Amino acid sequence: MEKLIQELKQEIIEALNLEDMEPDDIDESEQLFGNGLGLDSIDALELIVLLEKNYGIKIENPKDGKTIFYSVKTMAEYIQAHKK
Amino acid sequence: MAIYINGIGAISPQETKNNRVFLETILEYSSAYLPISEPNYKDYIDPKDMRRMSKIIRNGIAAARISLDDSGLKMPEAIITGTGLGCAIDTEKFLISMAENKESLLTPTNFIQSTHNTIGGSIAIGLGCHHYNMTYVHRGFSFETAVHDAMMMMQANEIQNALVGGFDEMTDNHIVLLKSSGDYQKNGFSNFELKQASCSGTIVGQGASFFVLEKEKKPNSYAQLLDIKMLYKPKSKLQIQETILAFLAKNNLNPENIDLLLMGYNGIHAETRIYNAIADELFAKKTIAWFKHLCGEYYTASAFGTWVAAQILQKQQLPESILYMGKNEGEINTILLYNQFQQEEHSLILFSKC
Amino acid sequence: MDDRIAITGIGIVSALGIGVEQNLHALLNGKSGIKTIQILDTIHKADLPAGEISFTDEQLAEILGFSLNKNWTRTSLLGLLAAKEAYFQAKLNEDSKSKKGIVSATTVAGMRKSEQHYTDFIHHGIGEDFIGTHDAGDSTEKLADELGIHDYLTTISTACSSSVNSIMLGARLLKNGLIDKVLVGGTDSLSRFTLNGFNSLMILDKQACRSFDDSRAGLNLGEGAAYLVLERENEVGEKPVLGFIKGFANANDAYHQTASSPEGKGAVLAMNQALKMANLNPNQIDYINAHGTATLNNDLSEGLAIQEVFGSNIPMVSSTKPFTGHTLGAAGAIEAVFCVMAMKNKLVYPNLNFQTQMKELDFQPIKELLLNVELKYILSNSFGFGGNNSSIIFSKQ
Repeated sequence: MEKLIQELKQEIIEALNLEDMEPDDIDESEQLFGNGLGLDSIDALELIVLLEKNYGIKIENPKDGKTIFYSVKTMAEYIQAHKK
Repeated sequence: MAIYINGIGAISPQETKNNRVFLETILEYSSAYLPISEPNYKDYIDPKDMRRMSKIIRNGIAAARISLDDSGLKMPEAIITGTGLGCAIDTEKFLISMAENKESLLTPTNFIQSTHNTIGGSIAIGLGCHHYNMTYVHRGFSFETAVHDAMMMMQANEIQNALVGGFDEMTDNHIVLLKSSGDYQKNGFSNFELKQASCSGTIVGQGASFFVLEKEKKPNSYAQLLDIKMLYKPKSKLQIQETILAFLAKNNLNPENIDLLLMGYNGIHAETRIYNAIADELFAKKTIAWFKHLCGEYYTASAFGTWVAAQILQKQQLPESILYMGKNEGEINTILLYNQFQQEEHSLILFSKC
Repeated sequence: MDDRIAITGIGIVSALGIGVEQNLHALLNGKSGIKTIQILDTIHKADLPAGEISFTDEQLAEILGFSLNKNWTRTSLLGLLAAKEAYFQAKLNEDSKSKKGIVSATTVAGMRKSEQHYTDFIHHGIGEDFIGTHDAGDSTEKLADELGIHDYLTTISTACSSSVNSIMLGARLLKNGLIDKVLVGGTDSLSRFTLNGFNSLMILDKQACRSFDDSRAGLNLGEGAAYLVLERENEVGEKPVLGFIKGFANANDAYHQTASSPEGKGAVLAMNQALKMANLNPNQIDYINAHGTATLNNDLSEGLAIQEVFGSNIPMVSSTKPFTGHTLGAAGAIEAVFCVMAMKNKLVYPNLNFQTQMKELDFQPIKELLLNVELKYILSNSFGFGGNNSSIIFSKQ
């Protein structure tokens, strides 16, 4: 799980062009959208593709992203539960 | 009714971000096309907003920011942009990714930013500006229509000021396409050689230039923008000459009143012949300047030409690097900018000293 | 403001057919043009329906009376079909004295051709023929050259509001006196680029779109073109006037690159400013042809904005996108032509596929075709990416 979280942080930084950030700057429980990292709906779509590309997990309804992408931790848990 | 250029901002292949200096050093390039002399974007854009922005968006926003700060205008009553190709790099990235991934696993960012009005929209978001926002995309008329629209709205008293800009970018693939089909110089050719070129051909460039236009004259006004005219596919040299004379006459001027003719000389011989004919036959003995060896040829290069004209009039300086023919002396009160794109879209912009 | 801007010609091509008559026929019969993609070469043929025009490029050229060559893109072909209809109706082909202009809109430009060749070119260095037709100005110049328009040319691209903006600039050019007659409108063809782009935004419905319905799940793309001829009223002469441009406005939402603000601020501003220019009260508007794309975001934001502007007195509203699909840069002009047809034929078009009112809204769109309705004033909305919101008001008299 710890390894997956580290991996995810790096992937998020690359996919979302968080240019000045290091994986350690992201708290795994911190809110990704809204107040936390301040991501928006376009980032959510980028993360949906990230899940499909890197983990083979397809999210059909963008609305589901809200809970899955709450934090890096919730993302990692979702990946573990659904990874093919 | 008078319209003034009260703020200018250019990001270009030259050192143009600081308006207090005017082409003091000139950069020479021999790359396939002229690159942008990049500023520190963080000086103009919040890093948080910048992460998704491609280079052209950053250049456009930076140039807009410089011109607004220069004028002191906080909230323009219109944002009007012109671009021939729009965000070419984002467009190309999405095209390639679509082909390589066989229409699957596509992320939206490049697609969203491929929209031509991305920069106008981004400037509005940055400023919280809810006013008129327009984008013109007609080849060599893109920037000109933006200026014309702003002038018409000011003349109709719909607005008192406007932020107007022109921008284009080039990509590594697009340049190859252009070179395979048009009048473009081969790699390794320097922009300094454009005038002497024994073989015909231009060098491609890019850039973003923005202007704050206002009805009110201010202590920091650069120039007065008198009039603009576009001419589509003229049938003959004579038609161009007649159009220029009529345009000047409409503004109560004749060629004798023009102190400086600023033209879009770009190394393409067929175009050089037209520029020379205008110079020799209508403006004999007048001083002639050029600018495309500094910014390169692109659909909205006339926006860079406008930046040059504004600087000349305000600073009363004609840098040697842009003198094409004639004497460099005396006061410069009136400038006529004559530009064309591939002999199809011709435009005239008339400026005077404040 | 003294010279009224009259509409003297309209032309259209959409998934409903070629020409005003075919489009009217489909609208009267409630026959949508949204169907399985047949012609565009894409892997999404089976899963993403669209308002596609059922002719190949070769067939379109044949209808226009020439054989297809590399200089013609689908965007230009569709554009010329619609432009000719409007131009001939206004008899501009017989008018050699007036100064004529064209303001055309497009978002996809020559992409349909470019996308077929781009990677071939990059990987194999072949097929560079598309470079001359890639940019947005190409289709406008093709139309201008074919019709003999050369006094003013320009092209607008502000995403999905583009062609309403071209009507606005055309009207302003006439008021300014720079030209006498202007052809305004827009053209866009379906392309893999836009289909995949909107798909990556996850806003395409796999079924027929349901504008303003609580169950709506996104838009269907379409393709088409529409043009109008505008003239100053006192210079129309003997020709019949089809309607007038009464007011218009463009405002910016300044909220997000793609999403509309929750309360539709830009939309409210655009509608209010258009009403102000038209010198009308909201209650004088008889019908709103909504942008109504059927995305979750647009219909909510536009619906709330309509409520904000019109209060408890909401006019008849419908979106015609379930008929045509969202034709992007052509949408505003196609809907403008529909508005002119509605005034002339005393019709209000049904908002196809509507069943359940949105929970957040106090109103429903018109469900069935209405006949014999006197429409004095119609407002049409077109909203696009970059927060670009435009509203335009047409009047019969």
